[in-house]
Amino acid sequence: MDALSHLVLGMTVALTPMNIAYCFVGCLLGTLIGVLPGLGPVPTIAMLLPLTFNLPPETSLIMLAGIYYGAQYGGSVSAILVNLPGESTSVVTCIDGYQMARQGRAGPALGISAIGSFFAGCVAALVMFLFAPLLSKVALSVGPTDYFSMMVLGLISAVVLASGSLLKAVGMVILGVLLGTVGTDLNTGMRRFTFDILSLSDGIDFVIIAVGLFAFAEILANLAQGEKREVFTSRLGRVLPSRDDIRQAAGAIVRGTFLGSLLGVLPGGGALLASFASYTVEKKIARDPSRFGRGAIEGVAAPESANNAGAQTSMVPLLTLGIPPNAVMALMLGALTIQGITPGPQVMNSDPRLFWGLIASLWIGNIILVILNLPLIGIWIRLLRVPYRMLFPAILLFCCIGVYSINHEPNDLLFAAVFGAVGYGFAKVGCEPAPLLLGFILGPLMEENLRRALLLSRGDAAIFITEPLSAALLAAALILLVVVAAPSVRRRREAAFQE
Amino acid sequence: MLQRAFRRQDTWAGLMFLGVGIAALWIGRDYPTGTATSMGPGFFPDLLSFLLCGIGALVTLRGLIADGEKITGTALRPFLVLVAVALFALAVTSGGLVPAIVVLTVVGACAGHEFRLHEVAALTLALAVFSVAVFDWALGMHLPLWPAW
Repeated sequence: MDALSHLVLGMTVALTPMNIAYCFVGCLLGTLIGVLPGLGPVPTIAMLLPLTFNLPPETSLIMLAGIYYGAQYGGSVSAILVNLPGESTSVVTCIDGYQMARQGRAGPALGISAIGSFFAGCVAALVMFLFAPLLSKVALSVGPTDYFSMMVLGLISAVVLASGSLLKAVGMVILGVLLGTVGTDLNTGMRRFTFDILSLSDGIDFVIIAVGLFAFAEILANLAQGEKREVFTSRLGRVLPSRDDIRQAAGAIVRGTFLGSLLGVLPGGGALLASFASYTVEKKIARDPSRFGRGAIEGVAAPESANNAGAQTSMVPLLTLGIPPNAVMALMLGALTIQGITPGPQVMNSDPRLFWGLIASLWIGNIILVILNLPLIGIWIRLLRVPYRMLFPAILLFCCIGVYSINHEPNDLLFAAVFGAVGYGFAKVGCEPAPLLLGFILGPLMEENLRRALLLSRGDAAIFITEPLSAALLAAALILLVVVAAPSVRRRREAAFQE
Repeated sequence: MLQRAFRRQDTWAGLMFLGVGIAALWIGRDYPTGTATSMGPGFFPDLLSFLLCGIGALVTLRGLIADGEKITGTALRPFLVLVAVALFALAVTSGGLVPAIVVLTVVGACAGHEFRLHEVAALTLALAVFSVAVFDWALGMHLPLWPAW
């Protein structure tokens, strides 16, 4: 009976006119940035964060979450029509989706990815509804030692999933944690790395880092690279897939949903991992694997279902453990902190409106998204024809207004510009910024938990190995590192990222 | 040999980690480390800096000996985007939001490959109207829109 009362509570929150409106705004924005290549959910959420300060926490989270899973819907549009992933999570959708478009079957490809996403979204929300409370209960009995190890595991998994060099990704995480120590030390009040600049005494705002490293650096990279985009939409065909298409894709949708829901919850997981894994699975179990890469509808249905499911269930570790599994969730953690809510196992009891309202809003959001993406698909296709030279000044402006509105401090914009240049430099030397952002957000939490753990053990670092849960988590992190660094896996991993 | 190494991404990435690690150790040399039981403000940063130096040394070494991705040259023009942001920062405090938008879009557009005057003018106007409508009227952020005089 508990579940029913939670459902009712969630729905009363999610169905207020204001929350429906903001859910709609989030889904709309998500679809928009999903369709447009070169603008992802991380910079979008970062630049909108300052605008959510005045909203109630549940409304703000409902909107921000809508951006993330909305982007999973929108990302397939550009993947299928332009062969450019609008989102990194749609990379594998390009392979078969674009081929379908070239065969004049763009309509069914778009249709099946929207239907698959819808199914996956609804099931993933149900999974969260049933299992998140269980995880919350387990997490309540976790001490600082275990927390520290859990964060280490989370960071290591994020590193393993970054493409490119493992070593450099570890370096980026540490760099991020180090950046997180800038500002006043909470325990002693000592200022660290502030260079006597007053606005640094509270630390660097994560919106500045996110906008600089993701939005500005991305624009720089896009402009330096030049634009090549060809919209393949002479004939869209029927958007609704035929009965044969559905029968062929149904199994892939179910498997993608299952895999996505599962992989989303893992530390370091989320939409990206889910889409890659489900495509590989489909190809493995197909009776005729050679159809893949030539317009197999399962190759569109599975990853598109999986990425939506994964995007949603990746909220579970954030809401129940207070540990963000990916960069988007790291920003959501920031959004919660600003609202005065410490994410963790207590959220379910202390803010039930937020917890259940957010989960219930996923059903509303998925209904909105399927409407936005099936009948209104024509609008998004027209949007794809807007050239980048008209788009990037607009992105630039919204970022600037977003950063400036944090504390009306022009210095913040200069810092963001510096981070933009730094981020471009990172790209030049082959370092990914996502692990850095994750490290930056988890850094202060790690320092605090390390301090507490060592205080409890009277300075004995062995406590991390003698406490069973902590030891298991650290062992898992170590195994993960060793397995990925092993030569045979490394080659396969490189191949997977190249595909 | 050395010349070739300095064309590799790893060499530079490693030196970057190493540089930041050493700089952080030096800047934080006066932060008390305390003991493990009661960590001082310098404890955690020092720990991280040492780790970073280690990673940096390994990556640099890999860049020096193993073949890898090369660094590609870069055009300077896209950096006008960052200049535009800095000018926006100056303009928005002294001149208000609307002049800042004009500066940002015009200078920003120069960073692109093509600059078409009528397009940029239309875009500037559209963005100014949209921003004032959304941020000032709808969201009530109340930034000054025009210069004070």
